[in-house]
Amino acid sequence: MAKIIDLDDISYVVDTSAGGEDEMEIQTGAKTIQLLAQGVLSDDSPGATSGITGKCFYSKLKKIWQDDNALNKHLFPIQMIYEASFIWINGWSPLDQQTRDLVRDAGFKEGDLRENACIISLGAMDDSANDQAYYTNITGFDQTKTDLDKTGELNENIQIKGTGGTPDTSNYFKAFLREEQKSFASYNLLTEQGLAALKFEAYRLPLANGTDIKAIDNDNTISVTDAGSLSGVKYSELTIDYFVGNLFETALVQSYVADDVIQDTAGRWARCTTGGTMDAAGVADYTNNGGTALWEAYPGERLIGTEYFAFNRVLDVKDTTNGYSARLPEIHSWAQYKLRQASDINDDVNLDAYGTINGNIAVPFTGFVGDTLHTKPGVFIDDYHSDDKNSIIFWDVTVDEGGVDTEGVPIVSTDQKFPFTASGSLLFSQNFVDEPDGETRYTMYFQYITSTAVTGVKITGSSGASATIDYTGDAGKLNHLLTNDYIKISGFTTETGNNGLWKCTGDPTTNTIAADKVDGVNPTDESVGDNCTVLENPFESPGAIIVDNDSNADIDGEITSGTIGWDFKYTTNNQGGRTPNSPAPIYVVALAYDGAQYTLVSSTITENTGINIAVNAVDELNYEDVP
Amino acid sequence: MPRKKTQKESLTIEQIKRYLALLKAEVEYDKDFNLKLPTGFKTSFENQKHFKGWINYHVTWEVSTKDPWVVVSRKQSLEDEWHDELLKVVPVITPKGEIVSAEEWDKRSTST
Repeated sequence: MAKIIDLDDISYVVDTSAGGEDEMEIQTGAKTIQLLAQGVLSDDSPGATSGITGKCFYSKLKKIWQDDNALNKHLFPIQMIYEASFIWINGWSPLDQQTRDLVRDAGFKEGDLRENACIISLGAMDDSANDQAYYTNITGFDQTKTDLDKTGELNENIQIKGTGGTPDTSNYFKAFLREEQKSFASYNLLTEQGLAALKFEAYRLPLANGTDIKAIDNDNTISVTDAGSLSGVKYSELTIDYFVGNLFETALVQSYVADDVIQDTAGRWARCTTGGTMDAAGVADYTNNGGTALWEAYPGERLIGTEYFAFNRVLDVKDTTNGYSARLPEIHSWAQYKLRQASDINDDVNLDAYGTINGNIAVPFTGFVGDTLHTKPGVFIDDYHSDDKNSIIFWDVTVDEGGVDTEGVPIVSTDQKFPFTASGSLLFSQNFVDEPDGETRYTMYFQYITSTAVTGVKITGSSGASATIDYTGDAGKLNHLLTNDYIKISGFTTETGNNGLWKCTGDPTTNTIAADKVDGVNPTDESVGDNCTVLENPFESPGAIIVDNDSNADIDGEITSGTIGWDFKYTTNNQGGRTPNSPAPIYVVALAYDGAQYTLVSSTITENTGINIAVNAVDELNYEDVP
Repeated sequence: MPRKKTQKESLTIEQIKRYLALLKAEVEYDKDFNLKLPTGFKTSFENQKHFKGWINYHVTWEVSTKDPWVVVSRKQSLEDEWHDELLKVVPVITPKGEIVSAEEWDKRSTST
């Protein structure tokens, strides 16, 4: 039945036992009222669509108190505060827990000072008949959860004060919804809504879920099969480590207490083991502290790119048996699984004695935005698979932003990611592969270092191969060039012989640069000023630069197989003064003595992985190296 | 001598509505309450234009407050009406966690 809202829908009896269809039994002697889940009244799940509203319950009583002489002679049982709150008065009380459970949309206080708050959830649950929300009403991660009375969308009363007002749990309430392979939800009611304490009234809070397509492995795969579906990683050998630490501030000359975490001027993070003072030397480098405080390296420090950041929870996702690293969806599957366990999930690898963390009330570790895994604030992942490096964003404990809250969650967290490594493969045709390795070579060149469109370019002072390139008409545009740079100019239409390859013989001076033409065609003065394109150190010049890989080695070698992988520091590569973090047009040059003709392939490295470049050559028919 | 009321005619509005609620519950819960209904009670509703099935009592149809034997259409279900009323007194926390006062939520609801 839908939730009962019309008072005429239900029937009642007074001072007798309810029949099979009567929903309410009133006993004037004992001063009890019983609501029964029968007739039109149901206590089925979900609570959002069953029961009777507090207002309807009150209204029914008021009407029958007026109409029924057997009741009219007794004091009235309910004082309504407002639509979502009422009090049992005049010695009346609900007969049993079922009666309390049937009340919807209103909290209430009983004569024995017991208080109940009605929790109403917003949003839909994936499976109302089975998705079981639960809560804790005592702070601390070592507490035990309590299931809500019904599955599905919430609308039910929970006790916030017991008989006589004790126990009083009105100062904390956190609801959770965590189901296997579904998105998680949790809500700290008092924190989120800025409440000092819960009262006997109704509260709305968001608590919804849906299928989590990134939680690819189910409980059985994780806990029984114990092998990740992508990597085969043994889930049982992965660990979670919580780190003790407070403060998370830039080091200053001042006093600190144990467990304070600071970042020195060198960028390193340290944790105070013995309280005391920090002096200037310690501020610069905590290992040199001349003050009385003692420090250790903060175990949650991690290097990302060239900077160190602080984290206070670390997942290690590499098993010890096989050395397999979990892939991103496996990490998420496992982390979510751990967050549904009633037992302690803190493996305490670093022996920090952080304490018990029962998984099902712990703060989450991971989430996905598209295919990118985002850690939750303060979480780092160790030993992830190298191919996943570009697809993880870590959220740190941001320095000087208040540290962490009572749940150990950073007050402010900033996303950090590794510099992007573009990668892909060179796919060589078989005639390259068939050639002995030592008779092959492939090389990747930048097509140019910079490409600059310049307007009004003039040539002055030409003498032989030498001249001055004047870019006053587009001031500053070529100021990045340096002595000995090779430049390839196109776009001259007045004196087309000025197009071609030049070598800079000096640095730029007031929008001019001295250069020699090095392609055999001498320059001619030109005063018109043409619109040109200037390529710096281009391929087909002595200044051409071989592309470096992620390890700063030239991408240059023998063709040892049909597929040769490559990678590139997309975010930071600045070879020859190129602009990092920008697409890089490249050429791949390949040749094999007998097997394949000289081959040139054009491509562009973008911020991606899996960039495959096909290098297909015409068969070599004429090469011969006579012994 | 005035005509004696039939069993059906002697029902109060409260009794009629109680029967309607039980008939809905029979459908919803697949139960048989073995109701002793006056002759023609069910059909007198089922034959009316605005009757849309017992399951939809309080949802798409209601009985008139002036004449409980007359089925009238509902523009909004009774439950939705109640929820609108409740929104005015219990603050709404949006799925994004935004706290909206009952009064503000009410304004937004009427302005959109």
